[in-house]
Amino acid sequence: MANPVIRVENLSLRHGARPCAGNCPAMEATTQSAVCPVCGAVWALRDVSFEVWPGEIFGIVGESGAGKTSLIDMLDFRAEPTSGAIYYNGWREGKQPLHDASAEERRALRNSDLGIVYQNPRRALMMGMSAGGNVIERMLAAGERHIGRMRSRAHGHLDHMELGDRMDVETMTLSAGMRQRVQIARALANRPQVLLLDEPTTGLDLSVQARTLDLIRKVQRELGLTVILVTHDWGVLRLLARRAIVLKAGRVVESGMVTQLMEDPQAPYTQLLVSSAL
Amino acid sequence: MTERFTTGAWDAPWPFAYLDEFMKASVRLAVLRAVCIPGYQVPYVSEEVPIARGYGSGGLQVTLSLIGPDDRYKIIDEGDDETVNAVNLRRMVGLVTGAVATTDPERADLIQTRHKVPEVPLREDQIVILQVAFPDALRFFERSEAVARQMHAERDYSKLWLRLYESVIAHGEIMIGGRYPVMIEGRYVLDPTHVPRWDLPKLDHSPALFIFCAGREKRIYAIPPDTTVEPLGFEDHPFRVEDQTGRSCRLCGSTESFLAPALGPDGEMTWTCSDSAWCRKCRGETLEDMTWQTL
Repeated sequence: MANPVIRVENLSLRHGARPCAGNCPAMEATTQSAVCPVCGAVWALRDVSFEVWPGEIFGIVGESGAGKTSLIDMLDFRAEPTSGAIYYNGWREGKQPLHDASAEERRALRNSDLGIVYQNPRRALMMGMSAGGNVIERMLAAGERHIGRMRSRAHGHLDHMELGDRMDVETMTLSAGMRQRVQIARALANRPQVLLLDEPTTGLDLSVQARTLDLIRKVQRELGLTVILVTHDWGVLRLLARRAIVLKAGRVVESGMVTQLMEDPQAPYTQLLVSSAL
Repeated sequence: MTERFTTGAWDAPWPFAYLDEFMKASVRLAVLRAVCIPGYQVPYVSEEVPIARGYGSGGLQVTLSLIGPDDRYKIIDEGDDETVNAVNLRRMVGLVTGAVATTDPERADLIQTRHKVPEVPLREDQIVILQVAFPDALRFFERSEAVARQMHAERDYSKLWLRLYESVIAHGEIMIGGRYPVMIEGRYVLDPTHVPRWDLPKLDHSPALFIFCAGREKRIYAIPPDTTVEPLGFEDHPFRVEDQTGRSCRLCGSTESFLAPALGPDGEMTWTCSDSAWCRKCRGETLEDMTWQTL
């Protein structure tokens, strides 16, 4: 049996420098809030565990402030876990916590194994550069130095995103939906193992949203990518993901198949989320 | 003031070379550090000098810290000895040190320059000091100094190649005129200021010491003698110097020096040597020395 690509074990992230003794034991009593009632520290995530299997699209749902982006930040090395660990089977065979990697190894992992798509394309893209340049930058970071080879590869990725003819256009001049697709092409530039999608279609109008989601699904199937999808939108989740966890105040309140979560939500919070979405 | 200078003993109303000893020592220390880590930008305390920031205050501080009373110095601006900036800096250095200035790069011990490296081959007993406006090649992409330092530490230089790529896409070849990024000994990428691409091969394994100093940005970095200096490039679009085929200097006829555009007598486009000392030498003129009294 294959191993999970990503295994998250008891992952916690605390903000604030006033932890009580024993990692805020008073938190166990409150499930409504991410703030420790005794010391006031904010637990963006608390004891989150899940596994992501090869080739699947795994969803992370929750309203804003639930800890979704904190989770992505840790997967992308932009935050260090307070406790717990992430294991990735492409690094030390998944036997050592991912955050033991050195700065250089982290950069190599981010370049070769990880692709990330942010909600705000300005976070990833250089607006003054061409669309193709933004894709090629990741290849340059991985050490490629041949313009002809890089351009043909970048053209392939942009063509997947139906932007093959916009390769040398300045990114600033592209529409929001196009920028988002350039971002996806950029994330795919080095054929990553894992694609992180942080609210990839939020803020786009519905028809563009549907088209972008279609493209993501197509690419995911063709390349056999493992995808972690963070969203607050049950529609997006139902279209793409099969399994998901529901986060609330930094804790997992429910997990399972997406269809099951939507048709028969068990936790009151999930029921609330589903009923407010439909 | 003139009388005081000529008494022989140091009797001017300022310390030798204007800067106080502590300041000179701190600049020299920063220079030593910069030489130890080729291409690394060493922060230093940039003191006030009697010229405005951005007019070569960094280069002037290094020159004043390194010069001795017996040294010959040369100061050029865009290759020319006679531009306003060069003339005034030369006057000032002469006045505060009593050292002899020269226009001949071969006789100079110290050469302070802006935007040009002398055309003649340099020797190992020479120091070239370049005035720098922006010390960091990553400044084009990263506004935060802290992030740029992290990028240097991790050798995260892909965006510099991206700048070259965008130039290739726009013009068909790399057409960057100044601040062309160069890699030092395969480690740090350094901003060689606005010297033309023409000058970059001269930096590679040069016997002379190159010191770069940005007074406003308070950074010193260096290329020590015999150091590998590799301009960035691509496998299919390698680094190339400016194409000067069919051009020659209007004054001396030279085709081997970097040519700058100039309007001819009838308003037509002509080319002249950027390095005025080279041009005068080609025309058989003698390159004179100047003492501070004659400056």
